[in-house]
Amino acid sequence: MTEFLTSQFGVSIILAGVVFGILQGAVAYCIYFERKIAAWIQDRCGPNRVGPAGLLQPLADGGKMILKEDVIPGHVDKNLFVLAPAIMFIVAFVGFAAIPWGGQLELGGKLVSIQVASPDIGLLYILGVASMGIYGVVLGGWSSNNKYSLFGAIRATAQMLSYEIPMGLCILVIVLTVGAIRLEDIVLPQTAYWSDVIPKWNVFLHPLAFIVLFVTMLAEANRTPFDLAEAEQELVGGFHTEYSALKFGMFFLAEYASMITSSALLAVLFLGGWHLPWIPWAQPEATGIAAVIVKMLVMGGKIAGSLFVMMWLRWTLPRFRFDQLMRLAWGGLIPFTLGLFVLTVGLLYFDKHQSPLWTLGGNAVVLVLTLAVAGLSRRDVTGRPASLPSLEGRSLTHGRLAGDVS
Amino acid sequence: MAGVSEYIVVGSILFALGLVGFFSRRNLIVMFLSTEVMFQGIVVNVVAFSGLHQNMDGQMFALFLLVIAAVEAGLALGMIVLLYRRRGTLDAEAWSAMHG
Amino acid sequence: MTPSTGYLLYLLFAMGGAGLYLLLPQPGKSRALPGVALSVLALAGLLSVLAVKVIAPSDTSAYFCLFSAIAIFGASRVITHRKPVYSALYFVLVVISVAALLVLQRAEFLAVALIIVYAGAIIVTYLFVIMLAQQSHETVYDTRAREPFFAVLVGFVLMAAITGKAVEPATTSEAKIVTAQFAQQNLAGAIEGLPEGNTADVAAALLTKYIVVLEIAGVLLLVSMVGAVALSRKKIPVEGHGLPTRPLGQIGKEVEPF
Repeated sequence: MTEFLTSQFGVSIILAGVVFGILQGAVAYCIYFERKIAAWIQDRCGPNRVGPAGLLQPLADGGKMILKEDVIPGHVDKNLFVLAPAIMFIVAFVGFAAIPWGGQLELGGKLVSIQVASPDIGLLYILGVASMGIYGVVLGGWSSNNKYSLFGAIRATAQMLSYEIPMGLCILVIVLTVGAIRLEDIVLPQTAYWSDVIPKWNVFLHPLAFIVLFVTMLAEANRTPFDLAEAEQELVGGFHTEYSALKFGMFFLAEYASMITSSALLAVLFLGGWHLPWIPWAQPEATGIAAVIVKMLVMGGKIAGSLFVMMWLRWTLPRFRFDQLMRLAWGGLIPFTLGLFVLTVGLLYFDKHQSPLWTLGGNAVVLVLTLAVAGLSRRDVTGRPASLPSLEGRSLTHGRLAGDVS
Repeated sequence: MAGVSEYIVVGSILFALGLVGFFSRRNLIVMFLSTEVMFQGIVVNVVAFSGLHQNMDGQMFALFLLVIAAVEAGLALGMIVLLYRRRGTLDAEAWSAMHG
Repeated sequence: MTPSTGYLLYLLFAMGGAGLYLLLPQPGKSRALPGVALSVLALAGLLSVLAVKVIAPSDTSAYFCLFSAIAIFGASRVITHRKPVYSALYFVLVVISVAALLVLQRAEFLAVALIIVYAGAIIVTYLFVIMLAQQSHETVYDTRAREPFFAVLVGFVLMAAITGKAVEPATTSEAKIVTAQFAQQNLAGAIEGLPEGNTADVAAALLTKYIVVLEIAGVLLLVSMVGAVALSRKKIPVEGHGLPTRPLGQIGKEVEPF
């Protein structure tokens, strides 16, 4: 038994249970913190009735979700209607399996990874799992047999397919820089230092790719300013209009779970994963149990920071219009990340891909070029496409309808 | 461990099922889905051969099959949208007569 | 495989074909029950034939049987289900189980590529078109198969030909040598010799031996993209383009929306 528990397989199984449990709680508390942050930004109190400072609010919310009547409307396609939230929920949590949470642990003279699974294709695994999440939205929207839900689903499909491209290109930039797609192998080179001071985190090599990846992850998780799929004001909640009780709760939890996965991936790719400079416990050499706990806390802290920025953005920025969203992806982010990608390939050819001077200079060049192209092109970014006639003297709603069809 | 002939049997069953679907269904989209099922059967087979010969040829073949499938999906769906606009139906039989 | 397993397989294919014939959407009273019974029997028989052949203790063949069963079940549902949306979803099931079969063959990169490309992109676009073109009610052309008997017959003949070749005992001396070599160097040993991750091998092969094919594939994708855009463009009649004008806001009311 001890032998089993100290083997990689045993550790993986225990870790799967622990991580799943912690994340369930974390997701519930994400909702609490989202509300608290919203309240703070809007100068309110936020939830403060249940427990000290409202800390038991997630439990009350959960109880409410479970006890509410679970309505399945008569006009829906029942099988798919039930399947959709389940797919969302499962997909959102399965991605955690390949995240390296805390380096390696020494157990009985052997080193085991604090990672549920460390496949050679770890990064691709996460991408593959994330790409399945779209089915939850699509099926939820279609099976509801409601035109607002269908609009939400169609918007979500187009949006997720479009933003997957710049996301993949940003990730490719890092894959080329590091030369590995196993997530542990991506973290390890980042634990070294430049001139013994600055950690070799990839964010210092490719800050622009970091920002673009963050933006595309917001879009993939359907967060503001990209939450057109649920746009309450236009679509009454979009793909989950017809959902209630626990099924709605599953959509809700899945959104936060996928935010956590994205943040964890961001931390691993750009922020050195569990590594923190100058802290002896957060170095790859430290393999004790204390070191593992410190590393997991570091990872958690990085994830929390990224989550905070996501929530902050949600309560700061208004939502995009759909044509702006598409133009941002196809006209902005994709050419821009293609530029970054070509830059990285070029630097790789001259073997300069690890030197910050070259990559930062290249980033600056790409940024300046993009801004120059954007500034020189006369296209109005926010307005109506010039190919369509002007709306002067027309009823705005009708005009917008015609414009959207194009 | 399953040998190569087992993989061939499974792959060819997938291929045959796709073929039956392509012949018998009338919905254009389901017909194209059936061709994708046939692709899956081929992928299983070529990867089994790749393992048998200990080289990458089979896997490369499967990878390019993916490209072909993507190309086919793009063009086929474009055509289906076009046909649907003309007749308002996805029925393949609606196009059996050459008039119009 | 021996000839006797070959005959057994023919029998199973005949059963499965008959079940498939009964399950294909046809007008008239439902024949689902005997169809399901026959198909399940055939699938179970096939699995037991495969299992007897391949299962040894403590190896991955159980997974092979499991995922083969899921793939075959999914594929038969793709072609027999009356709702295209379900067909597409069952196809996702096929893709995932085929990916699992590839993982069993140590082709991890290809497996994940299959899931990302097929399940993540291609089927989503299929669903997109289905959602736009069809709401949930059944249509006449989805409930009437076209020549189901001959379709199943062709499928059966194809299967018989393939498995006939696969299980046929070698006759010529040359064929015997090849068969012996294949038997000796069977897949089990071959796969165990492969390293766990093969992404680097895939990349090496792709960028050296197959570089020209890779370029051609890129061109093909470009051509397809241009073709798809050209095919599915919709001219919206608006003022100032020399086309007959329509009042804005009437698209979707007087003009066909799609």
